[in-house]
Amino acid sequence: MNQSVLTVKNLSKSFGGLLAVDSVSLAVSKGERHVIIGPNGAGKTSLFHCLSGVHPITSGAVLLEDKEIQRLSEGARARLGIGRTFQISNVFSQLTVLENVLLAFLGWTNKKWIPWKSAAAVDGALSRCTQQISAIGLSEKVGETVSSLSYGEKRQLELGLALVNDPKLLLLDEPCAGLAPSERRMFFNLVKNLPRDITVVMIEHDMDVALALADNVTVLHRGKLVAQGSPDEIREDLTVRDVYFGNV
Amino acid sequence: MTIRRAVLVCLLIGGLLSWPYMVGGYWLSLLTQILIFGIVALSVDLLLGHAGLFSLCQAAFFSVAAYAVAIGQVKYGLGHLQAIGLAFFCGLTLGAIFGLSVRTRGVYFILVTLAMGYIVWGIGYRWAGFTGGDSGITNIPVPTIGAFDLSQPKTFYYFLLLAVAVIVIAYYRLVTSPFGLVLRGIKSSEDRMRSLGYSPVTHLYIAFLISSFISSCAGVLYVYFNKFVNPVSASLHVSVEVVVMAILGGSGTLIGPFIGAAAVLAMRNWISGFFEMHLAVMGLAFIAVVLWAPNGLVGLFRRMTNRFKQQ
Amino acid sequence: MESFILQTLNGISFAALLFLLASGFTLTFGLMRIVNMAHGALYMFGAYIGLSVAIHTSSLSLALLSGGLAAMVLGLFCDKFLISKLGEDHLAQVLLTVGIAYVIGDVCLKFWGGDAQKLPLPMFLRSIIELPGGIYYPIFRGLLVFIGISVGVILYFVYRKTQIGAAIRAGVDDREMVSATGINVEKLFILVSALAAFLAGFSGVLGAVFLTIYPGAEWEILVFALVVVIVGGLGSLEGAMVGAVIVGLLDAYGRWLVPDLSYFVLFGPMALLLLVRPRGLFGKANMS
Repeated sequence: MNQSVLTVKNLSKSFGGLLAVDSVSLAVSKGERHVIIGPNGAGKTSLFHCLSGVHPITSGAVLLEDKEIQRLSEGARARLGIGRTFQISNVFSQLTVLENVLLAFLGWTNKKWIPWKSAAAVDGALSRCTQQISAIGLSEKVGETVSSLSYGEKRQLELGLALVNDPKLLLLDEPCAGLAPSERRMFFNLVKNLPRDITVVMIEHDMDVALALADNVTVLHRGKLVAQGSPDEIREDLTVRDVYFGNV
Repeated sequence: MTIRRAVLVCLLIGGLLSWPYMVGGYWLSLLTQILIFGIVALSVDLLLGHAGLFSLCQAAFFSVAAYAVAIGQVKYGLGHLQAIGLAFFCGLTLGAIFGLSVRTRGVYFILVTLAMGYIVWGIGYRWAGFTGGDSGITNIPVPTIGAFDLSQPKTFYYFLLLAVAVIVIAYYRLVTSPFGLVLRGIKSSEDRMRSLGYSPVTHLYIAFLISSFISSCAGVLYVYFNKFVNPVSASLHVSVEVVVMAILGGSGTLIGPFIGAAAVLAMRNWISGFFEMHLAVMGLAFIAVVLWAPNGLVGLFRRMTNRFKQQ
Repeated sequence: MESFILQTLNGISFAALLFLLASGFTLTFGLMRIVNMAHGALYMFGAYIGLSVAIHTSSLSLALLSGGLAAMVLGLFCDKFLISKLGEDHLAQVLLTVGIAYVIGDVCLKFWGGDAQKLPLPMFLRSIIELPGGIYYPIFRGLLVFIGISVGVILYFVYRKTQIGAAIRAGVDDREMVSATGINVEKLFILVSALAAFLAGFSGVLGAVFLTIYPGAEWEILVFALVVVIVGGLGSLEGAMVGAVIVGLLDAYGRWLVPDLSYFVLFGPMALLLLVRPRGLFGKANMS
């Protein structure tokens, strides 16, 4: 039995009167592909924001391996080994692709404080970054300003930013959102081929993609955990069908 | 660096070096002021062009450093090195306090820095017993370094050129370093930076301190050039002018702040020569720049050359 | 003790003035995301117009009306032809409106000269009344407090209890939603803008009575208004009220106790606030 990389215990988050996440628990083992699904407004992105530190939680606990992280700042959590992508593309538009990845690379080191010497000249930075850029398929665009990239290329870049530091835990929020079908296939393969020493938790809207990629699935509905299990179990689960086809 | 650029840089350096021998006292004084205020504009642009923070209190550090030298030497008989040390101490201390403003963003930051800068002006103006009030402090002794008497305009100018060179080189290394890249990342998307492991506020605070240091350098140079300081040096007007210099010249560039300083000071000198309502004209100029040349002169130049290239 | 009460009254009357000026500034920003650095210049313009009217008609009410209207016209003109071209770029807004303020300032200097001038009051307002406790206080200051409170009450009522106020509040919270609900956003903006400019000129006339009006006043009063808004929170009417009282009182006590360093006293609450609650007492987190 692997030690859990991510453990969530009864996590709740309320915004004023609205309970966005209602006592959700889950555990993700090392190397697992865990997909979170649920209809719109189910609280999936809110859950992610609570995990990565964008929002402070109202109650419960989040553990990265055996360390409680729910009181740490977003930056501190990232440095512990969490890489994250966002549902709406969030990259540095005015900077080049290389600069984007360099920033991601420097974020976990103390080299970000160096006030002299070019950023690319930092030990190991250039090689690791160019390697990552080619791994996500953007080698030809290394020197391009990100604002000139297509939406799909920006999504690729975003994945690259999350991967460049070899995170323990990768949080992907609907990585294929807004992509054309051919791009989705490429992304699907990118995610499928991620090394197994990275643990992946993913929010996905497309049921087929979710069930094809996942080792385990969590289903959320209106902030609550409705079902949890293997893809097959979820496929058979009647409550899940009701949730998606509107009987609840 | 292309051949054309190298030639331009050589011409620039040659021009700067030979300037005192090509022109008379008025033009020498003008270029001296341009270089001094260009340094302040540079400090503005570190925050504006790189970190995305619009600070309206840079004149406060400039002025406090100048006053520290003035009061230290004239009232307390300090030696030059001691007075300069005091100036940096005061400038940085003020920077450390005003740096709290980086906990705010956007409009709040603008307003907070404006208010803080104004308060420094107000204290300079009201605390007449200590600062000399409206009349300021005069007859400030200027140092002599070895054989070089800095109270001589030509000697001072070359010393200033040296100082500018050092500052510009250090600034260049800073903005091309990881630290500089982090600032630009923060300017581009602060949220993203946090998710990548950064604490943006710490970086911004340090940038603010560095900016106050650069501004203090200019203050020391200013007071030795002018031999006089008064509260106007801390006024909102100066803070706004240096921002306009940074933008007008071309924000985010190395030479932009100095070009902007040249444009603003040359224009002001020229206008006040024959127009009594020169503030109104300056105001109209600001309006024109904002509406028609928001990327500054460098941007305008680039747009024009692009259009020329396309034909 | 007497001094303390006197200074408190001074602080409250100054707070009334500051509220009149700051409320317009904060609502303009809250609704339209416009930072208008010419707000102080509108104050000054209204003051000078009111001054001329008061000198020629000896009527305070005419002066107030004309000062307010003059500022309103000028403010709307600047909005329509200049500020509206800028969108939400705060840097551009600041520079543009500072430029406008320079122009207004210089024009006022040309027409009204550089001496500090005091707006003459009609005879019946020049007297001093005796308050309980043997304190004598100018009746005008009492009027100022009365006006400040009345305007505050009216604004509060309109803001909180009427449909227009609800539309403005909704707009402050979420501008896109308001236009989606079919409320005429254009008209709302013009209304708030006009009101803000009117209040600026109106408060200028009042200020010209006891603070006098002089070149540079437009920046001095603007800074006070800014501190009020920073402390109270941008976009909040309640914040402008509370902030005005805090700043007014601190200024009065500061000038009384440590006259040379009264600006330090101003700086104190701002620094404290930045440490503890950067968005101001009543400010919203998303206002940038």
